[in-house]
Amino acid sequence: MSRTLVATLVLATATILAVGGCSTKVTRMDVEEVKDLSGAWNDTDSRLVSEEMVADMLERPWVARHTQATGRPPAVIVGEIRNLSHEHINVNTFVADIERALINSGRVEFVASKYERQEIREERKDQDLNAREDTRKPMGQELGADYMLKGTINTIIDASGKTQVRYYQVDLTLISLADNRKVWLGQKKIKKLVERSKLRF
Amino acid sequence: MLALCGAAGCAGHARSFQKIERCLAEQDPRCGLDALEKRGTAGRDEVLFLLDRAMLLRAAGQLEESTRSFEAAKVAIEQRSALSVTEQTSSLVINDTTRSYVGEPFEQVMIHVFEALNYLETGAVDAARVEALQVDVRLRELADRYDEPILAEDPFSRYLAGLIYEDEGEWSDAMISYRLAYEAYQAHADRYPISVPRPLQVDLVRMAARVGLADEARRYRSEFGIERCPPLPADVGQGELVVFVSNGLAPVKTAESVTLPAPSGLLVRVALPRYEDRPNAVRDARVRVDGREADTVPVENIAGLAKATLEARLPGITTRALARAAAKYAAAREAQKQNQLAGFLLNMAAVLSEQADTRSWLTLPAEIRMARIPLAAGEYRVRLDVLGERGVVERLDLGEVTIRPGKKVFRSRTVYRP
Repeated sequence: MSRTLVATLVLATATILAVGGCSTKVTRMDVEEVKDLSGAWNDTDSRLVSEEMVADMLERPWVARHTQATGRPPAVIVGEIRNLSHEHINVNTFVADIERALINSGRVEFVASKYERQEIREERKDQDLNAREDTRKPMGQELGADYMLKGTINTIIDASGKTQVRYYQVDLTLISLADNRKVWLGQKKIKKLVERSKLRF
Repeated sequence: MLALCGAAGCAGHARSFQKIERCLAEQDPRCGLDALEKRGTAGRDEVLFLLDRAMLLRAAGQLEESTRSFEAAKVAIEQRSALSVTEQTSSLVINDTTRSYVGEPFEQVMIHVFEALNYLETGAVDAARVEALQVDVRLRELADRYDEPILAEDPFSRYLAGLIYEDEGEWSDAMISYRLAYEAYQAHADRYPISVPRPLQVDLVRMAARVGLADEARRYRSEFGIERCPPLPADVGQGELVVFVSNGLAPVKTAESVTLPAPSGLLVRVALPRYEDRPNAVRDARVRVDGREADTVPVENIAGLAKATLEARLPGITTRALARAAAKYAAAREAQKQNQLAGFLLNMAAVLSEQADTRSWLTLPAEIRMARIPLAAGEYRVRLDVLGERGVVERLDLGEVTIRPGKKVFRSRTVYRP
């Protein structure tokens, strides 16, 4: 190989690398597609947990029992889902997923959370002063929740060198507000092996 | 003949930092942020840029932004921790600064500490707890890599984790963290000035008693000479105010280099980093609340830790510098044999390119001080007296706090008076 050829090759490679490194490439993905990048908690985990939890929750006897006893579907409120894991996890996405799936099933009613309620009450107070008589919503007519959904996300991390085993455990509990009875416990475990590369360019 | 390089010429990273330092001395972190953005950054120094940015944002009171910057730094470190083939080669051929900066072990731990302090300031204890867990993972990783306790352990991050667990009511986790902190303070005390802080001594005694380790509690009692121990605030319906003061700025790395002529007429140069303290007029700080005064005590001596870290890592850095010098010399000698001028030019390039890696996280404080004051539930105004060589230098207002029974309220403040 002549010297100029080598030089040209080196230059060409450098140019390709430089150009490749500069432009941003965007590819649209299906939301169901699994793509694990860093090994941290991601959208797939959130979706898997919510789907499994909802399916489990609805097929258990507590719903039927409550409906039989009171004649109306159980009203649930979402309490605190505590993140006790090693990562800053956005729990709102899967709480929203769970809420949506449960409401849409038509078998469970949901009560607005503490923070949402505050805003609604302010609006009602405002209606009291400013809205027309026939459209005014009276105070003191709120639906009281029968059950509160609480939960935790825990992790155990075992690491050696560049390899990590990440174990996630999500526990959700449905507690009766009337008598502190636990009517349903849901649990979902996720385990991942993360091997980080030892070398890069 | 021995030619020492002038300090100004070598302190590349620190020198470009002077403007930011001036802004900090004038208590104007916003101007420091502007200066940092203007200075820009090379890709391999991205981690440093993000860390400095996070600290300046913290000092400016923009805690959420600061936390985001810390998180970005963590990701950048993760990405750059893999050994880069190109950087490794250039660090052997040119100098160590061509490698991506991923932080000294203690700097990596400090990310979690300051991010946790950001969360605690806003009362997000669960989020701070995430950082406490991450510190544990980070330290386990470091212990995997290093035997040296200076590189593999950190006292204050353990202590802070203990305080966070205590606030969550997780007594046994708190006890374990206090114990690890105690061991780390002792291991580090041999290497630089630090000792087991008085508040931790009290925590050890009462937490050991609380979780039923009577023997251990007795042992701590006699070791620290504690006769009567104040009760756990949570057990007597009290709350607690915890104040952290980040005092001064961490030392800067400067280069010390030696250039020697070899018998062949060629020059050989070796450059190594060295820490230099930055001026600090503040000696102490005192918290005033509810008509009481509480002294702050040093809980982390970052300046001492930085120097001990460099000391522990210097053999490795020196080996690399010598190997580099030998390789550069051999190349120049080979060229010299063929052509005198080529040899001279290559030698010049080799000598000029030889630089010590003087990069470090420059916005870290020189030390962290802490005061803890048990208080009955209620509203309080908190003030901080900054003390110099001859009494009070400045009186700062830390604002109002609401103390609730069984809970801690955390406040932190950055103080820099050169």
